[in-house]
Amino acid sequence: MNIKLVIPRLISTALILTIAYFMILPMYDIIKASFKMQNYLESVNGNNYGLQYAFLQLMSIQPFFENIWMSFRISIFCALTSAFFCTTVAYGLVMYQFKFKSMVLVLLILMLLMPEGLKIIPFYLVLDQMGLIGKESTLWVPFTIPALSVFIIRQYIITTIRMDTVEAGRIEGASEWLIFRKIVVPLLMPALIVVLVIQFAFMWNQFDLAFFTLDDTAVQPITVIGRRDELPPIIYAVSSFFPLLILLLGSKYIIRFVDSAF
Amino acid sequence: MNINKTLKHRYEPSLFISPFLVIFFALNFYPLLVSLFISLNEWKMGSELAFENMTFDPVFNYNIAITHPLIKEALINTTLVALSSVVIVHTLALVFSKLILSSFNWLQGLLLVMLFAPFILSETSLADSYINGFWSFRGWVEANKNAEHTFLFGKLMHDYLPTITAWFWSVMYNRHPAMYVVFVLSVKYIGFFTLVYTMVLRTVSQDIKDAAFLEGAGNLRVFFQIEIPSIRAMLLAMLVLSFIFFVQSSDVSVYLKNHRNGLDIGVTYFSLMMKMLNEQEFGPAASLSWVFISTLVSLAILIIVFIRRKLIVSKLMALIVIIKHLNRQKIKSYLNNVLGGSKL
Repeated sequence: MNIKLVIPRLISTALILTIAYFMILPMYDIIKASFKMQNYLESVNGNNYGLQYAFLQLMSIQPFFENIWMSFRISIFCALTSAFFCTTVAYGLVMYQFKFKSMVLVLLILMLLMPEGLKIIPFYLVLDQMGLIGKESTLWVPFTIPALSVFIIRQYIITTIRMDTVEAGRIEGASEWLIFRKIVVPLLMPALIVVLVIQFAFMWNQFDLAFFTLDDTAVQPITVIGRRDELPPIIYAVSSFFPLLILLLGSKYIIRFVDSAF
Repeated sequence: MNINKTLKHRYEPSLFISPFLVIFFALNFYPLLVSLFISLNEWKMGSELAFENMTFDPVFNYNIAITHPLIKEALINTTLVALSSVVIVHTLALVFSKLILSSFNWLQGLLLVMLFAPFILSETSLADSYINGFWSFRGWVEANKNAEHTFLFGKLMHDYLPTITAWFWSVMYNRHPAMYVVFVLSVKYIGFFTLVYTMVLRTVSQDIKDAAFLEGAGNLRVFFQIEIPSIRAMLLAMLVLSFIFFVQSSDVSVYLKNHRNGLDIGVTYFSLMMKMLNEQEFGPAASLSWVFISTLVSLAILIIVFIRRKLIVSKLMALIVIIKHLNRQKIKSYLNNVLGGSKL
């Protein structure tokens, strides 16, 4: 065994494991703190009160199940619709030549540049005019076509999907929609999963719009409820659970995305 | 039949693109115009949230926004936090992506997923958990300070670790809490940009790199002179994008201010805007957001123009060449002269 090859490999493995540990530290800490007292210093240095205590604390939050269900629902809706619309837009941009193609790309970049805070006041006014204030759809509809996800899928299509495959489908007489559905979407699965994970996490953590448009605590998502000072630390563990679960389920595809793209 | 087919082909692209255009114009462009309209109108506090209660005065809100007592502090804080985060995140992301690409196996895959994990957590959760983790670690160090240890470990536990943790705590939390904001932002976004750079670095032609290696270039030279120039456009886009992300981020600073007494970073640009919204100052907030977006757009244009002229790249290259060709003996003698002179 060549020692010159083994030592760098060992060092890089140790480095990777250290970084990985440092990155999962917040999750470990969130779970650890959730079994302890409400107060910050007590939660760090205090006694461990166990699962039963944590569960009782959780049940004391009202209306907890409605809030968590609301968060889950809007995140899933947002992630699924984003994945669908981002794919159609990216596919349209890559596969077709049309008059204002570069203009659409400029609009996408403009979308990236716009700060979310800029839109809160007009959103409120527009939604108020439409009578949508307090409705669930107001939270996720504005984020259905994020420019960043369109760029990710567009780049993936450019580098992984061969035009020959699409042309073969066309020669066989398949419609564009059939080609998109049966050929393109299955090939784009890793990129779609990455977009799903990103959008789910983004929507789950979304705070500003929900805070400004929903007054009723029964329909507020968990992020808005979680900002209340009196809440026990377990709320952080619970609110981090679903994004982590989605990440774990999608981790295989994230690795495949990097491995297959480009 | 043919007419139908032609029409179908003509309108197919629009069917794929139209959802984006509808969303863009309804929920991005129209709100932008409304925001501009609000910013140009005086809006008396306490009146109903309606367009009828506004009086046209193009300067009124901008005057309030720009002369706000916190605007200077907000600008300085935001610039410092955003620029430091950009530098740290992109440097580390490039290093990690090279590490991942060095030999892609399950361990590198694990690193990628682990790096990506903080990206899915909220900034508030991250800020809270790292403070807790660090506080807990410091407690453990203090508790074990006076315990008996072996010689080597004892020195570390008695002297080095308590000093380092105390210094870290004092600098990061008490004197410069903005550093903590930079830290949290870096941890959150590093995974996302590593993912992007890992993909982008794969596009660099292996033939060109092999040719460079054959010519005797080292790994570093190939990285700086072939890979970085090849991904320059993407690098630029990511730099601008991350700058926008970091400028918009206000959660950590607000969290530190509200939940951790004594950890007051002051304000950032965006938290100032949120403060105005909370205090029902919609007009000044709208005008501040327009000042904000125009700053961003002009900054992006400046960077693009700057990069297009290849100024940064050529200057960096020139600097590398100068450093490389400097005579080490000359530097040593110069330093000796300087140090000797100061001693004298």
